[in-house]
Amino acid sequence: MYDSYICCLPMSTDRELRKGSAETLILALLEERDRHGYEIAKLIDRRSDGTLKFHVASLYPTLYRLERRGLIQGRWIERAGVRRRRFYRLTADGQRTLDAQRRSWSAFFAALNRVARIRHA
Amino acid sequence: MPDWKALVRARLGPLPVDPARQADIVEELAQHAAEHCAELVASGMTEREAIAAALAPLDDRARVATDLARADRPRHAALSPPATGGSPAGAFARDVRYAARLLLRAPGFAAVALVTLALGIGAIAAIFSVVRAVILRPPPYRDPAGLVTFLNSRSEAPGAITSSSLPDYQDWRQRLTSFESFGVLSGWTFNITGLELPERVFGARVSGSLFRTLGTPPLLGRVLTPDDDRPGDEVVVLGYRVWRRLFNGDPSIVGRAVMMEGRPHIVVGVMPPRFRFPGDEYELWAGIKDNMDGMPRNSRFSVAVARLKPGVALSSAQAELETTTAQLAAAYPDTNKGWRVTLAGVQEAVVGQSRPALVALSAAVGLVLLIACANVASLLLARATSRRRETAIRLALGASRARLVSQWMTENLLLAALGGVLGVAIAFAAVRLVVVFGPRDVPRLDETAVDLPVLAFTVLVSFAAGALPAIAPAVRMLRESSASALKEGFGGVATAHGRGGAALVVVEIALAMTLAVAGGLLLKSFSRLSAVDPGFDPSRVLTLKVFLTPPRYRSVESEKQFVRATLDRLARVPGVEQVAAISSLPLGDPASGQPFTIDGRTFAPSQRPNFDYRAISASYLDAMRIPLRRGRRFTDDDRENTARVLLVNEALARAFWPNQDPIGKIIRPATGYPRFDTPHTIVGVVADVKSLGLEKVERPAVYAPFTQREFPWLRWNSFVVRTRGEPESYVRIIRQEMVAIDPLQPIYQVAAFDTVVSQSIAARRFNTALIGFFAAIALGLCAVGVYGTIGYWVAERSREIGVRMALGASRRGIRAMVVGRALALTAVGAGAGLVLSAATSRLLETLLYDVHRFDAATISTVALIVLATGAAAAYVPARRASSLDPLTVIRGDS
Repeated sequence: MYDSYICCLPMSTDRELRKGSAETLILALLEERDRHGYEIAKLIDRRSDGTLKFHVASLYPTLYRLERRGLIQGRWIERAGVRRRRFYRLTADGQRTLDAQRRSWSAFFAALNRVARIRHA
Repeated sequence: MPDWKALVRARLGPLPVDPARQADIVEELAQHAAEHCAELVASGMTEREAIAAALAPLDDRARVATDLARADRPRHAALSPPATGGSPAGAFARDVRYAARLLLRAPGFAAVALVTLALGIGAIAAIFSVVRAVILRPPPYRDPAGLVTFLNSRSEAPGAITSSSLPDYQDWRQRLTSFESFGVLSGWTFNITGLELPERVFGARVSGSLFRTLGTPPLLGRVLTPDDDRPGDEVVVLGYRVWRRLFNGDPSIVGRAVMMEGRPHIVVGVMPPRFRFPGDEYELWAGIKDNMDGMPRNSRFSVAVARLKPGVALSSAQAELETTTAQLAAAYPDTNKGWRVTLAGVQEAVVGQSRPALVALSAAVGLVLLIACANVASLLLARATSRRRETAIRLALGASRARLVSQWMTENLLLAALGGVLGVAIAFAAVRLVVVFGPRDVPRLDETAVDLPVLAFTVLVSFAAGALPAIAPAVRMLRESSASALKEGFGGVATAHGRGGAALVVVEIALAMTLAVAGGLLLKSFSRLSAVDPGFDPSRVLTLKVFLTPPRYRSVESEKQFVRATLDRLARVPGVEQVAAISSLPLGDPASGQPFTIDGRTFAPSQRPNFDYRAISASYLDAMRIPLRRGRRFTDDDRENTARVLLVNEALARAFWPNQDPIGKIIRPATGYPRFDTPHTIVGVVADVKSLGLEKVERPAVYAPFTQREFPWLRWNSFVVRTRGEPESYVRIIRQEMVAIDPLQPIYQVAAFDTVVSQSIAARRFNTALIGFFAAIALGLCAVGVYGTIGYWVAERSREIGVRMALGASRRGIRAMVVGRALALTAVGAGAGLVLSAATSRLLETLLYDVHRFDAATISTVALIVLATGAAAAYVPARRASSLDPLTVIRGDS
């Protein structure tokens, strides 16, 4: 009676997947160094060869959410002769979350690979 | 160079954040757009196109503003609505669709959970309908809380409640100041003639003030008023049922005369369907006029009611009544000394007797619902466990926990809603059965219906039953860290359900055991009661009743003539062995107590003997097969002009002449009328019969020859006809004979005596059947619970079982291990159930007959049944376990 069924991802998972992966991507980029929003968007675009794209309406809500959760921290930096910019930095919490997410994703991909023969990286 | 900030601000509109933060956001987005635009221009786009492209993502203004604001909101607020965008209603609809798909995907789970919930909810809705109709629903009187009735009892036997006497009522009415109005009625059987067949209808003679005191408006015409007490036309108010039954609901009945008691009574009004007073059996209310004048102070046959003055508490009215009672006792010591009078709410007085059984039933059904909830919780726990992987992955991917919980709750509430709908269907069917087959003596039972309040209650119960069991799994789902759940989830072993599920099953079994013990005790009690010897032989006996009333039977002598004629005529019917008459039928009529004095003995007024009095024909003892213990029977020579003689029952002989022969002793009725209180000689002792109920101890009783019967107030008569064949086959011919004796005299309650006996325990049979039914449901639910939990346990341990088998464990050994596990759980539950039933069986005590509430045989039988249920429920999982292929299981492919 308790048919244990294969984990079935609901309709909304696609959205959650994108949201979750976006967060992981941003955290990973900030792990290297502090960056401002436009730079983050450009890097994701470039490193994924255009597969993943962020625009102004999708990037900033994610950044603000991460900031609100204490995973990144943003501050305005002014330099002479340049417009002031908001730079984001990975916090210790953010680092821990990124590590955990990397493990989860590894496990997830390992599972996908075992089940569906999808190899990652 | 455009003003980027202005462009962005124009697109976003005001955000629900503070202005400084809004300025920051606008600046950041403007920079982004500007840089993007510059890059697009550098790649060859015109500036105009580039500006449009850079700002395009902001075009869905509402969405962007919502996303930004939500992302930026303080932490606690972010937990609320699901972050899936769109309106909350849309999100809910999505959740419901998703939940429905999940349920369809697990039809086994869905079916078991639904049936479980539906049974629990249906049972509780049905019983709530009954409790509401019988106890909770206020009677249709104006301000029913202010209505009280007067209950009389002897100081030494406060439990034996009787009605009031008319002279006492008159005194209360004159002296008591706590009440604004009074009313009184006396039950009365009316012979209605002038219809196709003479009809006998039970109703009351009521004072004109009664209806004003009750305050129920009539459906048609008017109610009785104090003016109707004055000499003049006899008037009557019809009850709804009798109006429909005898007069086809004719609206022009008001103002017409109906022949009642041989006299025309003008119908002045018809009461609405829900009006009944004081009980269901009263169908019409005629003016009291002078019909009750001269009733002695010690005949307490009238129901007195009064309405408290506004602001007067029941306790202060009671205090005033006690003063008056003491004054009356001093003034009339012969009749009033040693009597207590208590005030009770009218509703309490009407339904009080049904309460213990209804409380026990409600408790039983509550237990069934709890068991159902425990079962559903166990199912859900299992389901939550099997969905840990899904949960873990969604958490890892960034789904908010609030979102997951809301989806989980939506699923369970959907289950509950479906269960509730099925439950209501079950309740409708159950209520129908209760109304048709329920015992007749439960007041207002026929008003039971699944109405709006019941539906509202069902909705509440359904949601509680859906939400409560879902909480524990939801909490656990949230506590787990996603990483560990993922690891474990993929590993495949989850023990958390094992513990929670086992605990729930133990609770379920304990509850079911409690219910089954109650069912067992009631069943045993009922079978003991059914086996009680009534003291007479009811087989092949037909009973029928007549109620002889003026003007045709105004004198006692005319009644005796009727009885003689009936005895003669029915005795000549072919196939009739014996015919006898008795004034009140055992098990079928109330007792009629009569005070007596015993020559040569004196009693304090409060100790004065009171014997059940029955007038019988000489043939009665033989016809009923009641053994004579000493002395002689009545003969045809005991006539009205011979010496007054009486037979007494053994209970009376034991109580008053414990070591002597009562024969030859003289006793006298104490009616207060010298012409009746003449010496009567005891000429024989007869065996006790169960006249008031199979479970009742027989009271001291006397039998008088009907020829010597003198009290004019004992005017009911029953006949018993012993036949050679099936008594029912004589109904037609006996009816014809009765019409031949007197075409205007109705006969009623024509029934086989076996049926009369069986109906005397109908309420107990009903209660026993219901509790037994609920106990069976509870056991069934437990079986499902054990099956599910053990099934899970086996699934969790499949690898371990595989290893055991690979190491040489026999399939039989594996089966024994699984069944053993189930038995261990069941035994713990049964033990807890024993403790629980010991604690709760006090509730049952009033319902038990000749069975102790700790009856060892019953309890051990029930325990065995519960254990057997547990073992049987584990059999399928045990077989599954023993048929596992060890290699497959160990490899982990299973």
